[in-house]
Amino acid sequence: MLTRELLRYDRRGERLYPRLVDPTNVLLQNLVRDLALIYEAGIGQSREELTEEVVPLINSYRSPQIAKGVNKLLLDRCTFQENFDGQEALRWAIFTSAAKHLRAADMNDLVSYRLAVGRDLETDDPDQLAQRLHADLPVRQPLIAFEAVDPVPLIDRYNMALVQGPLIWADGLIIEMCEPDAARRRHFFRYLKWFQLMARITPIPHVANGFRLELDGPLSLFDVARKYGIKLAGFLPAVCALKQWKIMAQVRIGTEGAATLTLDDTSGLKSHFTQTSAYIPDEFSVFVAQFKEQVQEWKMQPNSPLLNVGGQEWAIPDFSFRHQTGCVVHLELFHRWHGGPLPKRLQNLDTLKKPVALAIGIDRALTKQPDLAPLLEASGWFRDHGFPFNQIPPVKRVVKCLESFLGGERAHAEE
Amino acid sequence: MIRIDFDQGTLVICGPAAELEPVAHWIRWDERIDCYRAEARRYGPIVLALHRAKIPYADNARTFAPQLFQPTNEQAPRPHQLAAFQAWVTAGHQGVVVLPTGSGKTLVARMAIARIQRDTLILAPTIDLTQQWHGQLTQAFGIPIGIMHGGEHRIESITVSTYDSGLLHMERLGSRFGLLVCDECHHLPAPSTRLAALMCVAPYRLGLTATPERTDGLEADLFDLLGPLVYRCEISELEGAFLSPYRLEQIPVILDPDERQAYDAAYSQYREFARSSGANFSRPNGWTEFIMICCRTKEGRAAMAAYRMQKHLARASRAKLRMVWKLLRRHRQERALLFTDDNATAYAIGETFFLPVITHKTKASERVRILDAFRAGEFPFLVNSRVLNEGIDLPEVSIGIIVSGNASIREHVQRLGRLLRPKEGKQAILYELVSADTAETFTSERRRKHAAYQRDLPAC
Repeated sequence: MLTRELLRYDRRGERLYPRLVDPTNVLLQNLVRDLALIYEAGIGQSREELTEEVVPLINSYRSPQIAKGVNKLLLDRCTFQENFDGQEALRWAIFTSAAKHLRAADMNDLVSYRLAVGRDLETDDPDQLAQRLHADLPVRQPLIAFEAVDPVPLIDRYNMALVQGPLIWADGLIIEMCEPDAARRRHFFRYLKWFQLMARITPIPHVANGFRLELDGPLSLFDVARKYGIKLAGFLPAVCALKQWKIMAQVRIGTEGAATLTLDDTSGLKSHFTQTSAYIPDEFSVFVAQFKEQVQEWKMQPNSPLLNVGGQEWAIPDFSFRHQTGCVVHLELFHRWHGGPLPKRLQNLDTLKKPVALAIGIDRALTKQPDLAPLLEASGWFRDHGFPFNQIPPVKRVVKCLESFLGGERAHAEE
Repeated sequence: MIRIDFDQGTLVICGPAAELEPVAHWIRWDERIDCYRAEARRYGPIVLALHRAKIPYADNARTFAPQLFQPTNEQAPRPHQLAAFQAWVTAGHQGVVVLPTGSGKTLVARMAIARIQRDTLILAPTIDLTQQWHGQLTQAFGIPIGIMHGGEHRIESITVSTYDSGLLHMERLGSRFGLLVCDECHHLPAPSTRLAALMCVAPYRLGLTATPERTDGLEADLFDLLGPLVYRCEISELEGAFLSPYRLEQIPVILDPDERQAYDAAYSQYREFARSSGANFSRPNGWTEFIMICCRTKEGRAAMAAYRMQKHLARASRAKLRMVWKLLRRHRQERALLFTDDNATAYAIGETFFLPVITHKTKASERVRILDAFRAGEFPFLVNSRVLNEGIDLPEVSIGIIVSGNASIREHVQRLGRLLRPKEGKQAILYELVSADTAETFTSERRRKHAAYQRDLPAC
């Protein structure tokens, strides 16, 4: 992220506008390329030496502040040597020698004193010895690695950082989102949990898969501002990975008054978060084909809604099924790599106040895990509406679980 | 029945609204979880109120436990330490104790730990101070003491942490401790640091400081988070008997002609730009605004460079370095601590005189080694920027040399405090080097506005 003095934004009235840059700007791309070349070729050079090389480039760019910003992001991709064998021992030898001579009654001349210390360390050049004294200081550390990057992705990161910066001073964040892809939605909510943010989630009327989220944290209830700003800023790329999104935040940068930051998916912000969970296992595709072939009473629905399973807990079903009577039941599958939320989900489902038609399928590998096995054994919900599976959910077991909701208030409540 | 849980620095309280009436003042409905929520620091008042109202509750929040801490070889408290401890006990085991630096605040804390007998967390502002606490508590209680700072994370029934690490882990560890001790607690009211105390359930709280006053006037927050001011004692009340007698010497330093010329030119350039750009430094945000103005134009950037140049010349001129050498020679048989306002000057002095330097960039392990060697007398002189300003215990040090500093009264008092740890026959001297006819003169005048400095200042 960018430090405060590198942030670029305009305040007009009570609105705050980040001054995003154009990633196709050839001059800026050239600057990033030139700066990156200095770091790529700079392995072995000290931070101080590298700074001397990049400063002319930064100062010659039409906006040194932009140049400093992209340079900061490039510096974040640098690794400098921090450990120096023998450096501490050298310092110790110098200090020990110095202590001896400093106490001597006849050492009033500074030049003689420095030469005496130098002689103890077997050098005639005390200036050179002084330079070696703190050779491991950050400004003197040599570059040992640089993670290369193309100009456009780096400029995209810069734009993201220009928005993340003000968000650090945000009390909370309001998001309006619409994402038809269930895997992407799951990915988004997984990040929400990862950043330990709390959300009030409400569906947006008449917008399929549209939700409004008010994000903050547990302490926000007591007007403690900014505690969650870093988490909100860190979470922003997950928002920008959605198909449609809009954010609103109240920010108070330093002692400046409050201002509103509003941005949406037309802003050009690009997420750098990877979409690993968008991957759909082949086994699930096989299940879909088998189900459609073998089952007539239930039809698979094209999209699954976000389901509230108590308090701030939300589930994104993998599949939704409509029975010929009109009842809708959802199915959430916990694959062997995604068992983390399972304990909490079981606890919520077993203590639900409002009915939810959610069947759960659990990979047998998870059912054998020592920490999960007793939870599954004790769960009434899993007994009534759950099943284990190996690789492909068995169609008959799935149908049996779906039927467990027929005639009950849960299935009807979902219509 | 009412159920109380700890959740990320807060309390989640579930139960019928009617039964929660006695604690309604501290709780709020959280629609996100369909339960009530309170700041973790309200744990003590909430359970006390429920207990007094004879309302049953299930307490799943606290994870601290009764302990059997037995101090070994603990020294007898001095009258001011005993009075401070008793005042804290009388105030309900909460509150802030103000004692001069060097007067033994940590003994008051150890007495509190022995009295409360619950898991204890001590927060201190710097790594050096956490290590000092760690050593003292290990010696006093003879048990493993936990420590949390940049490089270490070990939790024990008594744990010492920097404020930063404490804050970082309080969402997880806020229920773990029954007694919270905040050393140099004037740091606590800062916007984010205060959350460390706010997110902790500890019903027993002790704040220790020599200088509770803050330039931002947030002392009231300190008392809100830790309890009221329960005891206060000033340097003048203890000097001679329990603190070393001390002398102050301000030394005006005349810049060399070439440096004087460079200083005047740089100072004029920066002041002229500030005047022409309409900068108003008396406004709360004036300096930040000036920096932003400087960034926008070539002239502004040159003015900022001139500002840095005149600052450097005033802080670390050749004349000052010559005066430092003179003082090092004068006190070659004593132990002296040199203070600077910035790392660059600290390292410049270190490289000129081959002296050990501690800044925030010094590795934790090397800091310990250097401090141990300095205490043991292996190294007679030690340079630091600001990291040893507060709390660090160096009774052998009798000489302080302020090469440069800021206008903070608190920093100045704390620096004097490093010299006041009592020792038989010790006469402390604090030198303050001030570049004559520079902005440093004004800075020096501002920082000496404290009772401890209202003495005659003989010039060298």
